[in-house]
Amino acid sequence: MSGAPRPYTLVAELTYRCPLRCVYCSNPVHVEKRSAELDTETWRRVLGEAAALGVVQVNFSGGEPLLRDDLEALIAEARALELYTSLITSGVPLERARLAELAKRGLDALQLSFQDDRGPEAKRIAGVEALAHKLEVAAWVRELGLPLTMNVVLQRANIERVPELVALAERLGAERLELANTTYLGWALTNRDQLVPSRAAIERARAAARAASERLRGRMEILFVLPDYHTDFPRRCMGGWAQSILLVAPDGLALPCHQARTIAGLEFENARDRPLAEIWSDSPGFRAFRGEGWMQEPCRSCERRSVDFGGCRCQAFHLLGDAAATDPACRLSPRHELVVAARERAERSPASGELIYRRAPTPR
Amino acid sequence: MIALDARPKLAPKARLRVDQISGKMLLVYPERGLALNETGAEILGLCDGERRVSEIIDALATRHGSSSALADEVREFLQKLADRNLLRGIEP
Repeated sequence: MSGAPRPYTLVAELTYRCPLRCVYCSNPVHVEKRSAELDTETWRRVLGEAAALGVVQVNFSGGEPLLRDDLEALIAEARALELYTSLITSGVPLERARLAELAKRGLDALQLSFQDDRGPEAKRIAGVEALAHKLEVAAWVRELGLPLTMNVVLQRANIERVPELVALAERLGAERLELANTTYLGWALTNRDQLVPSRAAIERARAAARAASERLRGRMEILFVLPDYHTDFPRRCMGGWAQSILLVAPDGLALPCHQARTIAGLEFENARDRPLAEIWSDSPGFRAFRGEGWMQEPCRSCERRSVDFGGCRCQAFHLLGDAAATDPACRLSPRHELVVAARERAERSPASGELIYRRAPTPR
Repeated sequence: MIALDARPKLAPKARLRVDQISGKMLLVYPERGLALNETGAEILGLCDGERRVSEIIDALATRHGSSSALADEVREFLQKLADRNLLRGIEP
């Protein structure tokens, strides 16, 4: 899918509330001020505006979207708009009857998160006991005929488990397995020293994922996302700033990505106040890093600028204090040594160090 | 490559729809989407689980004229979808 910037996917973050407290959570640690979640009617309007703008997929996400008791109504609304609807969930809290109802209302697919294939290790990362329930949920998903994506955020404590995680995905009948290395923003940045794996472990995980992907071709799609701290070049964050993905946060703020609201000085607008189409095309926050005009050197004259768009703006802001700088994950960044130092510091940190568990974002 | 006697149809998780912006056909499936060109959309329109791949190729040849590349193009396109687990009815 290419052409002029146009959102194909709406990420509808229905809430920041979550029963899990994962130490790698990508939700913001702080928000500007606590404001109420959008009500059902406003979400309905947002879905309609998104569909008119060209969105074809909606991912109901969070936090934990199951905590919204209007999820059924919103899925039905999305389906009526011909949107392909996915639920991005921890599976907690979910009962079989509710899942059946969600499927009946038009849910197309479900992505279930796993922290580890071992109970105690999963609990150490999620902060709560959830693995047994997730296994139950996965079985219901398949019984109800929904396609299952199993998502695992990889970090130091589970990265050696790729063969076991693949085996679990096979046993659960997952059609897609996402093995995504942690992005070090939000809570993951807070816990970075405990989470960054060694390069050797990443290489072993990548080889295992590649072998499994070959073996399971046509049965299960396996996506392995390398960590940008180890790749020399930055990741193609969100397919480019405000190019194809639109996110609406629980309080209605319209954003190009999960973390964009944490960049100080950017002005974002609320879907309560302005139609999404206008926000998408005109909002200062969306225009700030669209295209290449904002780039500094070394990005400005770099051959790779149309490949990775200078990397992640949020990472540039949180590591360097300048959202328009080259992502320091890039080896061409004059500040790349910060990422190298973070990697080395993590390698020296004890495996059993203290983890800080996620809370709902607190007002700053 | 996909067998000529396979009888493909779209997996239940995938949906074909018209894109309201471009008017083109889109194939949407979990967390992804593919914009189809006219030929791609036409091929998928013929994948009903009844027609064999060879019959799909014949049908396209009848409509647009036969060419030496046609059979390979159709099979490559379908194989790509099969690799993404988007087709059913393709087991030998």
